[in-house]
Amino acid sequence: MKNQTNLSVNYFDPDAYIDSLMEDIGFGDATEAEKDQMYKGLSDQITDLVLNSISLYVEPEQIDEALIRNADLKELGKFVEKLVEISPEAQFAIIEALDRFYQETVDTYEEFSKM
Amino acid sequence: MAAQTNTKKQIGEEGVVIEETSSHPIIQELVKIEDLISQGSDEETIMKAVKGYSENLTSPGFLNEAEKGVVALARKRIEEILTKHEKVLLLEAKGRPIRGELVKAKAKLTEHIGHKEEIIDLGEYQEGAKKLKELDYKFDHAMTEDNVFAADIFWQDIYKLDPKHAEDLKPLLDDLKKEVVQVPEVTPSTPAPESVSLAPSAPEAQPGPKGTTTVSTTVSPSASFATTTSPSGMPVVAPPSAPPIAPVVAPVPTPTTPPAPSGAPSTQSGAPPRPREPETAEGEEAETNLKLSKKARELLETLLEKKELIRDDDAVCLAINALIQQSDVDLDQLKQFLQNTELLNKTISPEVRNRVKAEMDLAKVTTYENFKKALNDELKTVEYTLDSLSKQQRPSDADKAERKQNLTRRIEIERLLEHADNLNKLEKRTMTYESPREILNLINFYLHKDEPELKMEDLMSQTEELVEEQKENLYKGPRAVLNKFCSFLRPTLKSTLKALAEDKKFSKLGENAGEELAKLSQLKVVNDQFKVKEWIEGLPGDYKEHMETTVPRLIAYLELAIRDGKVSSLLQTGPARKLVENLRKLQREHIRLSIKDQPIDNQQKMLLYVSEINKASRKNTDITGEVLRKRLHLGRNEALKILGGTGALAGALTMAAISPFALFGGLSTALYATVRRSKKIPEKWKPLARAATGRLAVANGLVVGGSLIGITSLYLPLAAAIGVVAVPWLWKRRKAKKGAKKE
Repeated sequence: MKNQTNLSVNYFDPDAYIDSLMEDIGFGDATEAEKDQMYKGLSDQITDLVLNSISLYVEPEQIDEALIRNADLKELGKFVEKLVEISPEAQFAIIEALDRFYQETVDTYEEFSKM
Repeated sequence: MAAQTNTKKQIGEEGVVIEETSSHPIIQELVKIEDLISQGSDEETIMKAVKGYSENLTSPGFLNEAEKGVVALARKRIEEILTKHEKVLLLEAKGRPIRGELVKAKAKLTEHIGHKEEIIDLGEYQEGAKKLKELDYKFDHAMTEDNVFAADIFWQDIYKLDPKHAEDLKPLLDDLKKEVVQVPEVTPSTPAPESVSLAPSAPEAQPGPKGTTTVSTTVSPSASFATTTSPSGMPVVAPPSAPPIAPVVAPVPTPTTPPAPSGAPSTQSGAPPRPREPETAEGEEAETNLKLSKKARELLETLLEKKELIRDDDAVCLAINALIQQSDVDLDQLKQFLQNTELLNKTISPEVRNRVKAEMDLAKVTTYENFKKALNDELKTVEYTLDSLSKQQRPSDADKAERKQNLTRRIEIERLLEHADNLNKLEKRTMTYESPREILNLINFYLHKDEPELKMEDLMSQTEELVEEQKENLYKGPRAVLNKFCSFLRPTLKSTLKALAEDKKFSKLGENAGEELAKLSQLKVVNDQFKVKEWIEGLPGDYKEHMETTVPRLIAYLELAIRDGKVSSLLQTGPARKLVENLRKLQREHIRLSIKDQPIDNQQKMLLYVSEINKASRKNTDITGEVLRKRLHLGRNEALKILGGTGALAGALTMAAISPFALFGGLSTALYATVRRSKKIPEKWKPLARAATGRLAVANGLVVGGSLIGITSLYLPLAAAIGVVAVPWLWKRRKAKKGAKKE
């Protein structure tokens, strides 16, 4: 199950990521309330992963560049977008973190299921 | 009058020299001004006095008559007035003209004193950090609207933070002093060759400091653009074996880069580069370099959409310069190659063209410009919809579907915009680039395109090496010293752990914290998850308790240190990163084990697991925020006010309403102000320091800022950001990697 990803290879769709993960951890037929709860929990974690990855991997010059390109810093999302855009390091880090998280969560589920 | 006795007493305390010179008008007028302020005179009267003083300062000869010591004293007095009467000055009318005028006067005095004062200061600093602290101006810790004051407190804190600092400071200041002493010799010599090389046709637009973080040194841009470049080894290294050259544009991680072109790129460009015969004699080599450097700059200016990205302190720009200088490339041909729209032409497949045409027909527009306008309008609508959808706490299925649809459309629009832009470029036959890195990649490709065995990945890593090389050059010398100044926790694993041991909240480790943490800093432990676990188990006290208190703190501190280290670009952060990874793994394992045996069903367990790891993340952010606030030496609320305290935002912001950008902006401003005010940094390096502090604020702000605004407003733009931005080749690579692991 976990060896097959139904995620797009062309872009990251957060919904697809979470839906796929939720299915892999036995939430495919959960109640709506449970699904909602899980959805929120996972998206929280993903945001944290993404921001942390960027902050740890982005190069100083890239911060400069992002600041120049988006100097008024009106929205965090936009700024982060710029930052990620010019930082391959951050992109790798994010994707690695997301993949790792996916795998670990699925492993956890399987460990729980063994009992 | 109370104020008068007060000032006299202060003057008396300054010592003999001051008593002798205090009758000088440059001081006396300031005493008068202070009296006026403390008597509560009306704004007009004070303003008149301050204006008069300012005018005196500009009148010829006035400053030259005074001794440097007196000027320094006057400057200090202005500083004192600004501090002491800060509240009065803040109550001034809009714009605070008196304050502004005083600050200006102070700047004039500073300018007059110039480097000399700094050398004197540095001499004193060598006596150690303790002395430094005493020399620092005492600022009222009370909250003010102006970040400058908080910033100074912050600067003082830098010295408090690391007990080792007194020691560390010494060699550092030695370096600083050397650099300062060298200034008079270096500066005059540089402009001379530059003026020779500048032809009248030289473009006027120089990449000066634009925006908040752009940096320029006191040396003129084009001169240092040439001089900072090092003659590093030739980058031409053909990799051992490889398939034919991969598509040229695909792996360049920039937005204008269209995905996966087809066709052999080696045939795309015109003639191969013909190495030019060196036209100049050996003695004129330097001049040739300057000319080349000028040409490199011209090239960049023609090709780059955003001119402000050409900077003489940017490693990428320097790498371009170095590459051109080293490779004897025919610049005209290179230019032709880079402006060759054919390259672009090949990257746009017929499908894409048809798609754009279909969309254009649909939108009933005929020109690409109008199409772009229409797309941008649509993008706004889509973003608005997405925004309102993202505000829902629990999206229904319909909402999710709508969101998904909008998200997909957003990505589509972004791509279409990109294509339209490219097609527009093609039509107009002008080729421009969005970042220097893109150009650098292409230049490197151009130089190596005749090597049949060249792999794209090797080419990419070669480019990276070039940039790294330049970075190293940049970080030698003044920048290295500055970066040391700007990294508050020394970002090596050992010293971070040492600093950690001294944190009182970390006292669960008992008295032997230092020793215990030293054990952890051994490389063989850091790299091994089980050894890290053993280490935690071996600590005095309960394993569970350590997992919940010691480990989160350790992670937060280490990550802070990594960010600092990264930002200062000086020290290796690898071991710390590895340790964090292992600690995080253990943390999640601990959570998993604590849930495993609970008498609930699997779904409940998973829900609990996710909520627990989220809790751990929040804790991490809390600790990070706490440490950052501690660095600002302020309480939580005060720190927030300062962080958000630029201008109108002050006071109006509550914890709930604070925007992360107030945080970024405010924190950066506070840090910039620190640097601006600091006497410890020679004027010519201040821009560099400002950049370093700004980055630090952003890197740390990302984590803390994210937690402040909460998930719903952040998740969507973020997700979309990686969605659009992480270019297809990256995802393909990921797929390939995953596939390789499985099969």
